[in-house]
Amino acid sequence: MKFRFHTESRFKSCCQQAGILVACMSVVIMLNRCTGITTGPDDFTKWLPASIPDTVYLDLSNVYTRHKRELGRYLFYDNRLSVNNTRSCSSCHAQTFSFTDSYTRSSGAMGDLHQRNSRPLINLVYNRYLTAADSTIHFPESQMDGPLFNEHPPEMGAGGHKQQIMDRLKNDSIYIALYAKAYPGEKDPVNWKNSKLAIATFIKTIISTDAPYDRYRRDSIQYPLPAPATRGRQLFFSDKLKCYQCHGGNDFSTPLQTVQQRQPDFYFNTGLYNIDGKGGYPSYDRGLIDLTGEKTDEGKYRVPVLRNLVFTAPYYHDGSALTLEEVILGYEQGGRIVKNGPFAGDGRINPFKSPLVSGFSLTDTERRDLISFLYSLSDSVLINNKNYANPYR
Amino acid sequence: MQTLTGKYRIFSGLRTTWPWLLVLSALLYACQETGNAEKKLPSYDEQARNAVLLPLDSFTNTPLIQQRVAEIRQALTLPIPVLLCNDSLGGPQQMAQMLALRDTGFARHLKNPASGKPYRNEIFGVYPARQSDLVTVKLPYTLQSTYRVEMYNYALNMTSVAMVDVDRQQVLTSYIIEDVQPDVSGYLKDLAVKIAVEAPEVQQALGIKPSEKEALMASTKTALNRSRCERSRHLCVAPTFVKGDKALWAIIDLTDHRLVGIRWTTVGEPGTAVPLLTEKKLQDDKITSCYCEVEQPLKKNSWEMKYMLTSSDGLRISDVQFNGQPVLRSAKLVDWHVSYSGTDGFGYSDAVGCPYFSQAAVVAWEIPKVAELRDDQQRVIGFVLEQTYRSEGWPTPCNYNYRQRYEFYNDGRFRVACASIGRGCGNTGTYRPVFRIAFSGEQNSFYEYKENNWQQWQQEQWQQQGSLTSYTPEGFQYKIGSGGKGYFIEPGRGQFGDGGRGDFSWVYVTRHQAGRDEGENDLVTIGPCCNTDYHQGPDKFIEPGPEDIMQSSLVVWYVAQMRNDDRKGNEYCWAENVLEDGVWRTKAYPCFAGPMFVPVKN
Repeated sequence: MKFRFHTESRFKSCCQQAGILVACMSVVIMLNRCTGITTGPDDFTKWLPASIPDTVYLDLSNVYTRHKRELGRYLFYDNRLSVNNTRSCSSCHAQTFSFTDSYTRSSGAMGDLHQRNSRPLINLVYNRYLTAADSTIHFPESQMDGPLFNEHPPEMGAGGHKQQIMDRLKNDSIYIALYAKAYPGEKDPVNWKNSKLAIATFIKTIISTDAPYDRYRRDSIQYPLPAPATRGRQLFFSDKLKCYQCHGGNDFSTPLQTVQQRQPDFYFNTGLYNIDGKGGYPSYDRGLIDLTGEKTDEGKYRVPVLRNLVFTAPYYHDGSALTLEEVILGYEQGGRIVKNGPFAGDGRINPFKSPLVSGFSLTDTERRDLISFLYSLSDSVLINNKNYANPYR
Repeated sequence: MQTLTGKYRIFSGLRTTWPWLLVLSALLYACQETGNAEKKLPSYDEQARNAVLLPLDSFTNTPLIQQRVAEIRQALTLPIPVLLCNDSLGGPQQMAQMLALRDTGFARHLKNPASGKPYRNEIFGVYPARQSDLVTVKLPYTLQSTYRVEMYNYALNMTSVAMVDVDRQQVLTSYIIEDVQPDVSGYLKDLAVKIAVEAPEVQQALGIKPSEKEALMASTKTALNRSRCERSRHLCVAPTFVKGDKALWAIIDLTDHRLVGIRWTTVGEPGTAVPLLTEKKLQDDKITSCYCEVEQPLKKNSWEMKYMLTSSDGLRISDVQFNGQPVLRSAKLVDWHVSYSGTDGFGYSDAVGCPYFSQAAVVAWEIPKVAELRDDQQRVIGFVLEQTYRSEGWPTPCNYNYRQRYEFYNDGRFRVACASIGRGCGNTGTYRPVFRIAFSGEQNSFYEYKENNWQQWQQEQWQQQGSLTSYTPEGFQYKIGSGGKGYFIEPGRGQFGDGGRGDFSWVYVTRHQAGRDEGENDLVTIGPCCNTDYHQGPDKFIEPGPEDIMQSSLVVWYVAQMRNDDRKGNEYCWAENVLEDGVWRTKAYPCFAGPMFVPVKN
């Protein structure tokens, strides 16, 4: 059992700001204050189910309280956070679709398409790396600056309109009350910093752990997997397919070698494209290379969470596969072949492709069994959980 | 238990110092707001109005709306509290309207039975009737003097339909469909456009005040989540304005006469408008006189049937026989649901139909076409009956082009199919055509292939085609028939060679009963445009009490799903203008869907 809170440097800063000596007792108390770990209603760990033996990543400067979370839930569903009142966080992260939006690529407040497929906002506290191709972002507190303020393309389009948007909330009696409870004692609590912390607090409580496979792992006698899913599970963990090598951990998104060796290698090129025969990806989104500048990082993307795939189609970082069959066929071939258009190319021979994507063969039945297993990772309780639902309803 | 263990580890150092912790925790709690009882938050409606929707509500008191509201209030004081059709009607149409209102069935829901207070009802249209409207009528009638009257009840969100023979001064039939909205009248369309054009939010978004004639798709019903338009609970339309490569949707609630939201979509490169309007009027005349008013017989190879264009259910075939044996009572294309957002739930409920008989946005463009079907070796293997529908401005953005196709093979197979030729009003569209296929025979049963066996459906129900769907080795998912005869149903999975990428269909099976109309007559728009679940319309004939369907007369509803794609090299349900040889040409990328029906051989 390894249940650890990664404090990062922010914990220290939080404690230092409080001006408290770092004596043993004080540390624990400050941990209480900084993480909200108490035995009362402001205990963040109440959101974390007993069954997940995994590391928890928290920005400890953002103290959990239930009032902050409730404010965050309202803000998450409020269109007024976008420049033209047309988009909220939930527009691209809808509970119905496991906090994605079901579209190939998401569109912003002005109709512009984002280069990526919307990622599910689930179990973020168990994930060290949150975004598809930026290994520097570990917490939703910092991640959300992108969707809120990006201009190329605008998503929420709030950049340049920050004051105007906050003014919308300041005149709302509901928000006046919600902010006052979330940030007691603050003179002017309705501001962007507090809003982001509140949204992040809400997002971090979105935990998905009640899939058939979770229940099976908790009690295989009472919750047996159906035969096809059982066969699929055997395939998933087999030496023939070795899916588990990249899709390990609680969310099937932690590469095995990382689990074992603690290497921060969560990013892989799976041979989706090979436009120029030299490993080229579409110029508008080339993966980790856009951050590192390293040629070998072209086409590298974060290993995705495999939970709730029933609800999160289409797949891949750019939504370019409509079905799981397409995805699995790509892996069977050892890379994807794009036949037409400007992105045509043979991903199988992409020079930067991970050697782990080497191909295998499946019968139709085996492929269906594998999909059955993947579907068994889907948590239908989550999408109906009122704790995460739109408060305006 | 493991979490407790985890907590235990975190707090393990505290075991010896718990009294300290207790005191300090108490102090900390004391510093925090203990709080009073939670303040009760406003209801959803209030929230929706004040928080989620556009903050401005500046237009509700303009003279235009005041006049409309005054008209409504005045109508509600009348003995028959109904807003009459505001479009210019001829004498017989006005007569039909009044006769319909005197029919107790048609006018069943004019007032609240408990309080006696009137509901808001409005006649949306009075249209010349066609044979497809009169399928269940047993009384004698004269087609030329019969009109179809459609009335909408705003309070109950239901549609009343009456077929009225003016010469005979008689209502031939009337019925009510719940959760269905009729085609909006020209008056309401104009009203929606005026509200949109005057709305400050629209002007601000576009940077100018648009002209009324710039508004596209203004008569097509829409929805918008988290507003009263959600799941079409209010009557809503979306006048749409194209600006460059984007389209601004002004979503207008015609129940409350207000703008409820704006949304932007990307429509792709605008190119140059090349609408094909030549001789459109002549074509419309021919289509109307030949194919909208009467059924046409078709006898070819071993097949025999009748066909005609309906008001809003596309090309309908009926009394279909193969080798003299009845196959189908009828088949038609009830709706096109076009959704542009899975989360915001906005899009269009498109109907396809006749040019002159319908307010449908997308009307028949050419006469129905009959052509030979050939295999790879150019041998004739059957024939196709095909109909094209098109918005006038196609292929410019926010215009639609649909194709409906029936394929009949010499070996007894047939296919019911359709296609969107793009490009519509955004590059995130999902097209969901709704087919209604009524089989001949009173003793049919329906089976699904599951776990290597045919399993019979006992009751009305639905099923979605997905990654785990089972098929026979031949690709069949369902079977319908009786006594060893019938048809296998093979849904589209990209195998028909027409570029289709799979149907991802919902299939619903309902029981047909004589004397009860569940879509046998021409259906106004069925269901909301933009639901992402099985609530596509046919479910209303199943829930809440599904009926027994063993050995019955059965109707199969087939709702395919096609997602448009504008990515280069991967285009689907898309069209664009490209400059070729110095002139603009239209490149279309159709998406086809529809099942094949294969005879069961003994």
